[in-house]
Amino acid sequence: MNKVGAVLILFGWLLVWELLSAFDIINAEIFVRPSLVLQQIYYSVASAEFYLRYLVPSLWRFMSALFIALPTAYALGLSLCWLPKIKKTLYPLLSALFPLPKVALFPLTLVVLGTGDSSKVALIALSMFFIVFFSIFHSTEKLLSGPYKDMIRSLQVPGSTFIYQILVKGTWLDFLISCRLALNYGITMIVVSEISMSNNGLGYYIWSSWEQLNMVQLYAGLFWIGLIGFMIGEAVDSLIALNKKYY
Amino acid sequence: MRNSVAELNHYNLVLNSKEVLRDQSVQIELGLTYALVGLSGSGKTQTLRSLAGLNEAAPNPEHRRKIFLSQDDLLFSWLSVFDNLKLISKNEKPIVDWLEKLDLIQYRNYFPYQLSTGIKHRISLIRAFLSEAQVIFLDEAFSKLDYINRKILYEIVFDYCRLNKVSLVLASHDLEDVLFKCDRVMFQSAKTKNITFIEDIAAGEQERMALREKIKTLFEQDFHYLKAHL
Repeated sequence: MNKVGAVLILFGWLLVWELLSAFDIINAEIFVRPSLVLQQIYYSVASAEFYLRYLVPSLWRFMSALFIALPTAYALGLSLCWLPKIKKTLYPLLSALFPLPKVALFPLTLVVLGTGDSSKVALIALSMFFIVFFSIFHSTEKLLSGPYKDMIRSLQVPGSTFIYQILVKGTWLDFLISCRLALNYGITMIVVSEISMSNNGLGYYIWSSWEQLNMVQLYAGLFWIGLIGFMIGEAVDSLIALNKKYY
Repeated sequence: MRNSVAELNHYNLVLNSKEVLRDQSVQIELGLTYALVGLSGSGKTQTLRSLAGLNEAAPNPEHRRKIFLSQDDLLFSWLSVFDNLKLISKNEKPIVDWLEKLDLIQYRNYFPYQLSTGIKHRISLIRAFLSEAQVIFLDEAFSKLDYINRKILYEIVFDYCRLNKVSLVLASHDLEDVLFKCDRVMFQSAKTKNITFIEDIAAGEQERMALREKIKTLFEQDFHYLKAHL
């Protein structure tokens, strides 16, 4: 299905919702009319407070976490496979930490890093780190032990060329795919980290709307967080589509 | 006595609890071409891999560069033809020279998914030549190709190896079309799990006929042994 078709179907569903809500067939206080939500979105677009207090802090935390987690996870995932000593030391630790629900670590990050931005960034970064790390680790392991194994050993490609042309480029598609998952998970974690111990960000916007039973604002908050997820997903999907043919 | 570029001395190999090579002893001499024949599953690939230093326990004391080419995964799929070749040659000139020599210069920016199997084989051969290896191992390397392409590629490899005094070891269960281009023939026995027969290939037609018969007998003996033990 093309994208225009998908948008039309989405609008069709919104229209059905609008009618059901307008005629009180569904509970209009909970499932408020989409037209009211659109109005709220329009107000927030025109409001400086929305950007400064809600959108920018969330994006700032997300981007900070992204720039900490993704390069670290990529570098560690790559190096652990071909540096056995580091693998021996770090892999058991990371494997033990992986099954822990990252949300459960939030109180610990609050104790260690305080109630400011650092603890929220740490939680988002941790959640993204493990997805990318394990994906790249297994991708590198597969590269070095799979069908290319003999060719890699036989060619004896020198150090920096080996790292860039074989390891980095060879695992690039898996990196992008893991980013797709990690970034979506990171967006979920924005909301989780801002629900408590916060007075700004989109998570706070959504939570405070619920506390005030302001359902219109709550749906507008969900729209914004969904839009961020959609845009990031589309951007990464485009990169995946561009690269897929080479693998 | 020629220099040895690869050798195994009383070498044993067990893979996944299965004995693959037993007391294997073989020496590859500099500048000679070898045909390694034997039934499928007799251990030809593992003999080649061990000689190439690709099996963990196989010794490679002199750290000579050895290139091992199989029939699959000839090029890194995410690198262009030029980048695949640049992996082992910092200098661009020999890359361009080889591409021009084999009439492949128009493919320099192509990626493997855009190339036919025959062209991929040619590129992987160029990479082997650029590596300046002293020995090249071809494990059924051209078996996916048609007769004409196979013949052309064997000619390229033999010409290169003879001209540059590079050793060449070809393994296949069917080397009919190139057997007599080699200097020596070796037979890998499925029964003893090692090379039981090594002989120089003579120039005379009668000697060649006799050698062909001898190899045929070895194949038959091995086949009957396998049949009895399956």
